[in-house]
Amino acid sequence: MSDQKIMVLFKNGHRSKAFKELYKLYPRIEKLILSKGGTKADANDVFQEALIILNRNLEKSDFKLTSSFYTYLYSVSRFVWKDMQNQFSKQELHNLNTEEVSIFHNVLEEHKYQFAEKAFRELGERCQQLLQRFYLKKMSFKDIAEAMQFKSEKIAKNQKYKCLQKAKDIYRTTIKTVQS
Amino acid sequence: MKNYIENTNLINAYLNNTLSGSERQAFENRLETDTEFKTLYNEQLAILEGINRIALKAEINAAKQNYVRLKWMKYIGVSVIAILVSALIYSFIFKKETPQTIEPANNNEIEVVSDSVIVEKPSEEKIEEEIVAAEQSKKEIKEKKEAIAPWEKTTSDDTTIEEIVIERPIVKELDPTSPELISFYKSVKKAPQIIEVNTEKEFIITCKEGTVLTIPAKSFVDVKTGKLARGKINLEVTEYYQLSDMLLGNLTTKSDDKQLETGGMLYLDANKKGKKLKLKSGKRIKMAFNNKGKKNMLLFNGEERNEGVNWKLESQEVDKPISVKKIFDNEIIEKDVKVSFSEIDEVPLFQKCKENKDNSTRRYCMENEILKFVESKFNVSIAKDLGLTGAHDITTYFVIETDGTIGEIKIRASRKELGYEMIRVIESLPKLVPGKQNGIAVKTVYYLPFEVLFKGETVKQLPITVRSDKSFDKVSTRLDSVRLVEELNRSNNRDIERYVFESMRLGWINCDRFAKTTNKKVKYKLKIKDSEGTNVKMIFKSMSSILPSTKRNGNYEFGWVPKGEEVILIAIKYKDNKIYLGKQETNTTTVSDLEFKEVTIQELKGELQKLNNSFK
Repeated sequence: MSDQKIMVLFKNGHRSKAFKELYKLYPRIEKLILSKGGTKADANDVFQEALIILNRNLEKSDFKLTSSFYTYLYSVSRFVWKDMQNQFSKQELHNLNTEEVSIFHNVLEEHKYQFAEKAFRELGERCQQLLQRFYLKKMSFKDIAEAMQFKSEKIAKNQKYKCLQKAKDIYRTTIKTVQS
Repeated sequence: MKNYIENTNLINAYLNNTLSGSERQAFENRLETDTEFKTLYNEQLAILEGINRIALKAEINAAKQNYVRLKWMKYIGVSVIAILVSALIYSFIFKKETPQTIEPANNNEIEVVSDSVIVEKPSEEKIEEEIVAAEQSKKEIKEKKEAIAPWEKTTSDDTTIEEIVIERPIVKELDPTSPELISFYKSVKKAPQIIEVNTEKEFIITCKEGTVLTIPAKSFVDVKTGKLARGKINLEVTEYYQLSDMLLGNLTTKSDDKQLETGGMLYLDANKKGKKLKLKSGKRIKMAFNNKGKKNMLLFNGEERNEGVNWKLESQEVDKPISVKKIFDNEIIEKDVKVSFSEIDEVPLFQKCKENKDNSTRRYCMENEILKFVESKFNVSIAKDLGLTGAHDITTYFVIETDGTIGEIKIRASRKELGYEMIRVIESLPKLVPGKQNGIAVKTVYYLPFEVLFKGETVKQLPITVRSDKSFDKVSTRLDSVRLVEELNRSNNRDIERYVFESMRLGWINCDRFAKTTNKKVKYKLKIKDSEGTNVKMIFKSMSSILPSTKRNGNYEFGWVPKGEEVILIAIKYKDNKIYLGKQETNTTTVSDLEFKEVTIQELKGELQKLNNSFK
């Protein structure tokens, strides 16, 4: 499938389909990671990150894909891998072109969200479900209360704040530990 | 806390784009001024993105599963195809191999037979002349012929060349002989002699008309089960030495389109309590035909067809010397032995090499002369139009016959045109002094490697085989049947007493030779009115030969027959349960008419028996 068609899938909200198409590029990315000394699991993680970064960029209004999906994913994967290995040398960073700089920033930015994800995963099962229902599925508190058998809409609402607060707390502490 | 909840809601509303224009502006202003609010916003954003990542990861994982599944399906698909393909290949090879081992295919090699096939002696040329167009200018024909196939031109040293014959493959259009007639032939054919044979021991029997059969012990197996037949079996022998028997048996002496002279035919069959038997592979029945005074006989196997039996030469195992055996207390001279040039006692020679006394210098002289001869005669210009480049190997094997003439030629070359040219050159060799082994003239196999060099690069090519056969016209190579010719010679009398052959199969067996005539050939045909259910045969008075005819456009055609031969035309017609016989003595240059008269079976047999004496 051409890049253009994949782009249309993204724009029309058929993200899953688009990912399926992009996954066809995986073998080549895997090759890259394996050639850099990574394992297949590493390659899998790297490609996943690259797709997340791509998706995040596509959601931004000011992002424009200047190359093919493959070229883009390839360079993102390269950065992700280097980042995972902490292999950036000053010389290298100095020589980056603008596009590469933006990718580098994307990769670094993603750390935040990774921490947030990690924090979220540390929540209890019920909290996770609640937050996912509210933020991802955009369910109303009424529906959530019904689905999760809260006694009332209000309790669900309250519970949601508590869960979010808890996630934020965990997130904050992780950020602090990383920074210190 | 309340403040916090409010802020969270506000941020949510902002992110969800549900704020109004002014609210939005106020929110963004606040982000820039209120650092605490900004941290809150960023935190909120990060958490939301974190949650979002979970959803993304789930989707990516689904995509990955899909990808892995597809990959496996591809692998499975590929392996299924691979299995299917290998199964196909296996079955293909298997199927191909089976018939090869059971019944070898006729011939895998490309065979080209040069025109000399029908020229019995290379120095003698025959003329083709059609009665209808007899007045055609010889020169014209000759020129035409040369234009068609320059390599097919046969050269000769001294004899005057009148014309050269090109044998064109004749498209067979066989008269579908009427079923009535076939059943008639079945009813009148000779009854077999039934001999009880004990298979436990070697068995020798002389049949009614003098054929001596020697059957080794335990040589029959059941056709169906393949089991060895033990004890007593019935051997059915039908001997055909008499012309009348042959005519009533609807037998003729033709091998494809070559005329044969017969030294007797046999039909062998074996059964045990009605169950059909065949010869065990490797076992051979030895048969001595009762035919005095005939030379150079060969063994033919018959293929029964509607219009009669077509005879095929049993293939010969080349280069395998036949051991001397004593049969009927006569000394056998190995006449059909072929000896390699490099091993022979006395090498075949060019006349001029005779001056050398010593065998090795003679051999050297001979090799030199042949090479010189080929180099000078080989016409490289034939390759002009072929666009040949580089070196081309032409490997030639040819037989120098016991009379010093050139026999079979077998050539392996990259192109058939090169092979043809080489055949032409070899056939134009002058008469040589034949090679001798133990003081007896024998056939010598000469191996001649030759290389032709053209400009340009050498391209490796698979060689093809080109043959010229003096006596074997498109002989099919049968792996399972080996012919051993043993000519019985009395040491003091070179007249051949009998022919002893070994056959590896039952069925139709014929002791024949290719008819040798130096006569010109003519095309002979006969017109018969109301010819339904009629079979016409031509009997040659000078030799034991019966030719069949094919019916085409109401004419009975005999193809090319030797000119001026005294023949008898025999027509048997069977229609509405009545038998008619037409008989006409004539020669092959006269167009004759046949008159039919109604006869009884006894009368028919009687009439045919009258002819027996004219069959030598």
